[in-house]
Amino acid sequence: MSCVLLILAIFASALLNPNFVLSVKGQRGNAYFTSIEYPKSHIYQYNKDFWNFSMRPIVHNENCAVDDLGQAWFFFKFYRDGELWWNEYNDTTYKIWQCSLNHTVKCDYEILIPTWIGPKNYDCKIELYWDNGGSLQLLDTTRFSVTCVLAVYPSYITVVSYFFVYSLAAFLLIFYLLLTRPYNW
Amino acid sequence: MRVLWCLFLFFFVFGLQQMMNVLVYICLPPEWLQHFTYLVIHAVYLGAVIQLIKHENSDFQKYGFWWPENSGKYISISALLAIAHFFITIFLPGSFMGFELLPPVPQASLEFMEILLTSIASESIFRGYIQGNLTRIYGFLPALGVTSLMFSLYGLQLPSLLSFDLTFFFTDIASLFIAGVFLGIFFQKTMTLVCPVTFYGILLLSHRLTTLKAITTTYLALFFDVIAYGFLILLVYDLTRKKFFGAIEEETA
Repeated sequence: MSCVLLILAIFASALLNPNFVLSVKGQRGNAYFTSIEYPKSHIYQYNKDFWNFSMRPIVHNENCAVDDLGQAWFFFKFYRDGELWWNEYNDTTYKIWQCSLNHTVKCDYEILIPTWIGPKNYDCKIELYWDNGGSLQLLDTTRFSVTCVLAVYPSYITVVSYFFVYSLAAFLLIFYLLLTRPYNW
Repeated sequence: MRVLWCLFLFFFVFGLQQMMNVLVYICLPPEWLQHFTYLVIHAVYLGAVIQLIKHENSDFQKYGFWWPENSGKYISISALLAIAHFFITIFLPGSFMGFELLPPVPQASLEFMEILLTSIASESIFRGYIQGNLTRIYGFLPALGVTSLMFSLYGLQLPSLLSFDLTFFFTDIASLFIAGVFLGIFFQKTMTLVCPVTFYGILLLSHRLTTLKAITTTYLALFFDVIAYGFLILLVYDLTRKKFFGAIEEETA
C-alpha cells in the first residue's frame, strides 16, 4: 500500500511542478525550454533516401536582455548520440534569432537523416545559447529520443529471413511433436 | 486469509513495478541500467512468492512448481503456440499492410536474462499463486477474470497516462487482459508453470528481439492480438480434448 501512495506522490509532484515538462528534461535558467514538440511515434522514411521529421522547441526568456528595450539573441546547438550535429551559429547565415525579455518563441526545424544508416534510435540533445554581446553562454539543455524505422514490403530480405527462421522453428517443433507421439494423440 | 495474501502480493508487485516505470520515465537512466533494475526487481518478486509459499507451509507442486516427465512435449507445444501467435500478429497483418524494420536491440544478453526472469516471476505470481489460490476459493472462471485483470494492471505502463495517450492505455490493458486469459487457461489445463512460462518467455523474446513489426493502427494490432489468443485458446481446448495434456493427470495422480 505504501508503494501505491509513493506512486501517487510522484505523480502529484510531477504534475503540480511547473518545471515538469513531458518527455523533456529541461532546466530553468535565465531563458529556458518550456517544451519541445517532436514525433513521439515511429518516423518512417520521407522518401527512399531520407527520414524527415519536424521539431519545434519553445523557448521562454525570463531574465536575458542586452539593452533597456529587453532585446536578446539566442541560438541552438543540436547533438545526435552525443556528437555535435548542427550548430545554428556557425552553420547558418542568420546565426542568431531574437526572443525579447518575457517573451516566448517557437522555432521550427526540419530534420533530414539519410536512410543508409539503417533503423536507429537517436538520442537528441539541444543546447540553448545566449549571445550576450559576443559572449556565448549556455543556458539550458533538453533531451529527447526519436525512433527512425524503415517501411518495407514483405519481399524485403530481412522480412523473408525472419519468416524463414520462424517457419523453420515451427517445422522442427511440429516434427519433434509428431516423432514423440503424445499420449492418445 | 489466502485472499488477503493474494491482494498483498498483487499490491506489492504492482506498486514496485509502477514505481520503477515512473522513475525510468522521469529519470531516463541508461538502457543497461533499466534492464538491470528490472532484472533485480523480478528476482525480488520471485523471492517474495517463494517466501510466501514457504510461510504457508504449502506444497510447491500445488502452485504449479513441478517439472513434468514429458517436459519436452510441453515445452515444444508452448513454443509452437508462441510462434503461432507471432505469425498471426506480425506476419499476417504485415503481409497486407507492409512491415517496419526497427533499430536493433543493443543490450540483447541482458534483455534475454530480464525476459527469462520476467516470465518466471510473473507466471509464478499470477498463474501459480494468485490464480491457484483464487480458483480453490471461488472457482476457475471468477479466478481467471480477476487474475487477468490484475495481470493487465501490473503489466501496463502507467507513465503513458502522463502523456494523456488514452488510446494506447486502453488497448494496452485489453491486450494484456486477453494474454492473461490465455495464460490462465493454459495453466489450468496443464497445471504446471513450465507451459505458461515457456509460452510467455518465448513470446516476449520473439517480440522484443525481432526487429520487425507490422504497420498497423493501434486498434488493428489489438484486433489481431485478440484473433491470435482466441485461436490459441481453441487450440489448447482441442489439445485437452485429444488428451494431449492427459499425461499430466497420470503423473500427478
